[in-house]
This record gives sequence, structure tokens and C-alpha cells, in this order.
Amino acid sequence: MATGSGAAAAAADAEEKESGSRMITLTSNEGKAFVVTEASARQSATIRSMVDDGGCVDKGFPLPNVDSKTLARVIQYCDEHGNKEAHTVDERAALAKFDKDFIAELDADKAFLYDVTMAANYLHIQGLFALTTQCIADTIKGKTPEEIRTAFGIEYDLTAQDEEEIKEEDTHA
Amino acid sequence: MAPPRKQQQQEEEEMVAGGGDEAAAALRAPADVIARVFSQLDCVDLLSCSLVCRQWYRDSAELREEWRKEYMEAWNQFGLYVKQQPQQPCPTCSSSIRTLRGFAASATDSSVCMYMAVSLPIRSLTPARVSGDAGPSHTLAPPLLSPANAANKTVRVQINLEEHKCASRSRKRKTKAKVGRKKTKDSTENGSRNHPVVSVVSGSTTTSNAESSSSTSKAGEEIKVASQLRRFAFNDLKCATRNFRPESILGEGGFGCVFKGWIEENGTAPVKPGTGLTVAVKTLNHDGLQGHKEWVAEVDFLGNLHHPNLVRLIGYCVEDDQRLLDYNAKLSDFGLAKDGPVGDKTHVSTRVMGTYGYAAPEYVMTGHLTSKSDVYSFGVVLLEMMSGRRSMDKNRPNGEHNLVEWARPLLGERQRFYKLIDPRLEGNFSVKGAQKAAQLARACLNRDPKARPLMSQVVEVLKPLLNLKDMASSSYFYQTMQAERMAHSSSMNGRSHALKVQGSFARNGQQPMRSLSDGPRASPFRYSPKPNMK
Repeated sequence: MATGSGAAAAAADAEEKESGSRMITLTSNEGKAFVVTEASARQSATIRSMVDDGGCVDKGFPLPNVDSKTLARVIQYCDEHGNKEAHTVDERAALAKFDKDFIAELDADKAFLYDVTMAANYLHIQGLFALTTQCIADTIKGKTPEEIRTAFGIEYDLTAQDEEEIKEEDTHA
Repeated sequence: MAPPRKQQQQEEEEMVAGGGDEAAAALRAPADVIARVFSQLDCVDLLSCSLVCRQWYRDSAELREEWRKEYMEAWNQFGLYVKQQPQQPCPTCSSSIRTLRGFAASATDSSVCMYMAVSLPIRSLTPARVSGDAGPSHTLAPPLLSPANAANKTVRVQINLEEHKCASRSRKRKTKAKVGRKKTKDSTENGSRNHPVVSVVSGSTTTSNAESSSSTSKAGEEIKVASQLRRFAFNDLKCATRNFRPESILGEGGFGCVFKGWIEENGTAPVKPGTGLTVAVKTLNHDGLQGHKEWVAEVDFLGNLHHPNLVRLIGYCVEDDQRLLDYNAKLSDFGLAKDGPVGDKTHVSTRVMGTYGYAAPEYVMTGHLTSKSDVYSFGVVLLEMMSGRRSMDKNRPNGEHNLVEWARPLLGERQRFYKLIDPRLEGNFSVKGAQKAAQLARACLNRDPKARPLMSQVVEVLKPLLNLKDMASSSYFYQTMQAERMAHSSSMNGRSHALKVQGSFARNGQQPMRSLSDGPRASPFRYSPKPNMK
């Protein structure tokens, strides 16, 4: 669902927009291709540098670390920020609202939020990365370690030995 | 756009359940991601994170160490934990790979608590936040202060007045008519930046059976429980404190200034100085940090709190922007350990509100407040009494601004602890007593709250000191010191102060009291820079 509309929106946007702009193909680790505008793709510093280096624009960019579901969501963000202007107050407000809704949706699914964070980090999408890490930080805030573990499904793996270590470290302080 | 949530949850569960190597490999979180997340947390939350799992513990180590250093620096310099925006960590250091998910939670709460306890930077207290009390709204982290702000950040006022029994019952006046009357803003009249917002506290011996006028103002409505409190008209308090006269200032806290005043014993009308009920009027500084919320909390809390050693809140005043609390003239409130923790909670987390220089390090650091935090504050006061210095004194030479930091090394040494003692005592104190008091202060000021004594133990230590008679003036050691001192400074501040280390404590059993009989100006709290005595 997310995949289809994300790609379709990207394609539609691309047609409407600057005809001179190149289209770029991004391929998920499952081999699914996503066609996006260059403006959208340039949100990612990783892809931007590859494009600027005159790399494999035609062949498209394989992204072995990102699955289709995550990539679709990331592209959704990039389309919004890459293809739309942010000059007027209204436009900026619209983008801010988009961000808010975007992150609220992710927040409901911590596993997916984490995937998107990883992808944003891997692709060096500054805005998205800031957005998602902030969301994770907000989740952590005010929680006990136990609650944090529950929220993110983390295993408690501190052993008795670690405990000693930590104690020792602390007494040195 | 999003797939139905159920489906997502299922997926997540699968991932969690199947947290084998394969899944974990796909779910790795590089250190820079974690670092970025951590950098957006404050110290308390970072500490929680360090106890989540081993990797988080290691990932957060660098940042915690950094903060610890910053903290120590700030502590030495300002007596406060100072932390603003954490620095963004270097985005290129992604060497290690961290796993966030794919694990099953298996920890017990007690182990978490233990870890929390051991990993607090300045080893702090027992169980960390109690789970269930989660929610950001409950566990407010200490506000992060900037050095520039630090001086303005202090909040609690601490007053020690001699208990004052009301001398006369005459001069009763009808005042009810005045109560609640609208008042134009004349807060600036007292010329200070402390706009009077007042609380009034009365002599502990009087019971307040005063009228509780149901208030109509917004702030008044929020004070529900404290029905026993009197409600003052701003004008009354203004008169009671003689127009908020600077001479009647008892102390100053982040809240605002505290003034001495006199009111009717059973009413709200002001009376002549020296008659009626002596009260402390605490004003709320408008641009202070302790805002309306804290004010209401204080009124609510103190209004219901009756303890011989704590000041009793008599009433309050809400008029327009004027908010004042009226205390009985006896109080040591170093940021009370807020509402006593209930049940299995051993502390409460609050916004850090403490008078600069009195607040215990772990409180400043973590916002965790226990009775041991108050023991620390007591230690500071004890030190103030012994040394005749204020807890924070910007007028002193560098390195002596923070009394505790200055005194800490001296407290441990028999040879040097004389330097601590207020020279104005002129040897008129018991050597043994002073030594014991110094030891006690040292114990109270221990950075580890658990190592601090209980207040009951403090009393036990202080009690016998009363009977000590080995005056320092007759000791050889002291005479040498004195001679040394004289050589250093020609001008010694004249008369011996009324304060005696040995006698001042147990006057009413356990409460350290400072006599106000010779006026606040004469108190060492108000003492101006003293001759260099190295």
C-alpha cells in the first residue's frame, strides 16, 4: 500500500514538475524499483554525491540495506521535501504538518520507526534523521530502563559481571 | 498510507520473537544513530538508557563521562549542575554496531533499580524512578542550566528565625472587609525586582483557626486543600512588612525576597513591629523560575503540613499578580523533599528547585529528592554556622565562592579545620565540639547520599556537644592560629558573635536556630567580605 502510492506519487509529481529534471531509480534490497525525481533523491546526501559524481544514474541505485517497505516510506518523505517548495509561510507550515503526521504514524510502530531511522542514517537524509531520532529520544524520555526495553523490545543482557564492572567504574568516579 | 496497525504489530512481534542472528543482523543500529538519540536526552534519561542493555551502557559511556566532567566543573564553580544542549556527537564515528531490537525483555525491576543506583554519576540514591510513575509529566528531568543563568536559578528560600511567641494580643482589627479586595499593582513600590507575591508563615505555637475565605480568584481556586489558610490582602502584608522595607528582608531565594513582618495573631491585619505574630512574608519573584505552579504546590503542601520543625504556613495572598506566602517565623525549607514519597517510592522526582548552594548534588543532578537531600542541606547550614560564611558568596576570593567546596578539604583535617571556624567567635567555642560538628558536617555533605547520617543520628551527635567546656581560646593551638590570623589581617570584625558552635544547636532539641534577636543584619548570613584568612 505504502509502496504503491509512494512510487506513484513520485512518478506523478515528476511528470508534473520540471520536465528537465531527471528521474532516478532506487532499488530496494528486494529488487523492487522506485522511480523518483532527482530533486527528491537529492534529499539523500548519499545519493546526491553519487549523482554529482556522475555515477550510475541510468542504471539506478541499488540500496542493499533498505527494504521496500522502508524505502517507500523514506521516499514519501523525500518527495514531500524534495519536490515541494518551502518559501512561503504556508508552504513551510504544510511541510511541518507533513512531518508531524509522518512521525506520528511511525511512532505507533517502533520497529518500523527504527527501520526508517536506519535508512535515513544510511542515506544521509538529514531532516528525516533528525525527525526520527528525535522521536526515539522522546520515546525514551521519562521512562525507566525497564520501560525503555519494553518499548523497543530490547533484551536485558547485563550480567552479574557487568554489574561488577559498572559498580567499579562508578566508584572510581 | 500505513498498513493496518495489527499487521505491523505482528511483524514486530515476529521480529522480536525470531531475534536470531539473521534478524539481528538486519536490525543493527550504528553507534552514531544511538549517539544522536542519546545526545537529545538529558542526564536522567541518559542514565536510564545506560541501564537498558550492555550495548547502550557502553554507547552512552562517553557521553555520560563528558557530562560527569562538565558537572564536576560546574559544581566546583557554581555549586550547581550545569548542562545545556548536549554537543552533537561526531557523525562519522560509526565503528561499532548496536542492536536495538530483536530481544526479549527479561529484566526484573529490582535489578534495574540497582543498576540505576550504581550508575548515577555522583552515586545517587536507591531505586530510580519507580515504574508506573513513568510518563514524562511525572518524571521531570532537572532543568538544564547554563552558567550564565545559574546565579538566577536558585529557588528555595531558607529562613531560620527564632521562634517568636506572640507578645501581645492587643490591637485586633477588623480586616475581613479587606480580604480579597481588588488591588492595583503597586508591586514595584518596594523598588526591588521582587514583585511581591507572598506567603505568610506564622509562629509555630499558634494554631491557625483563622478564617478561610473562599477565594474567587483563579489562583485561589487551585488551592483547594489548604482550607485552613488565611487569605491576606496585599495591603495588609505590605503594611505588616512596613512596605517591604529592605531592612526587613530576612533572606532571598529564587522565589523572591522574604520579609519579616507582624500581623494580628488571629487575623490578617498588620500590627506594630514587635507585637502580634511575627511572620515571614515570602514574595514571588515574577521573573523567577519558580512560577505559579510551584507556588500553588507550596501553598498546598505547606498548608497541610504540620511539623514542629517546619515552618507553618499561615496564609497566602493572591491579588492580581501579587502572590505572597505568609509563614510563621520559623522555617528551614531547603526545598523540602517535596511531598513525602509514598509507599515503595523512596524519592520523588521534580523539577530541580533548590537554593543554590544548599541543594544536594544528586538532587541537582538527577532531580531525585530524598530525605538525604535535606541532610545535605542541613550540612551546608551547619557549615555556615561554624564558618560564619554564606553558602554562596560571590564577594569572596576565587575558589571560596562555594562554601562547601571550599570547606570540604578542611573538614577532614584536624590541623586545618580551625580555618573553618568563624574568626568572630574569637575562640569562644569548644574545640571538641567544633571538631565533632565539623565531622558531622562532613558526613552530611558526603556526595554519596547513602553515606549521610539520618537526621536522628545528627541530633544524637549534636546533643552531647552542649556540655563541652574546652574553650578554644585557652588552647595553645588556637592561640597560634589566632596570632597567625592577626598577622594576616589587621582589621578583625569586632565583637564576638552570639553564635557558639556548642550551644546553638540543641536549643530546642534538634532544630538549628539562628537567633534573630540582634536582627538579620548582624547574622553571619549578612556578613560582608571578611579579611583574607589563609
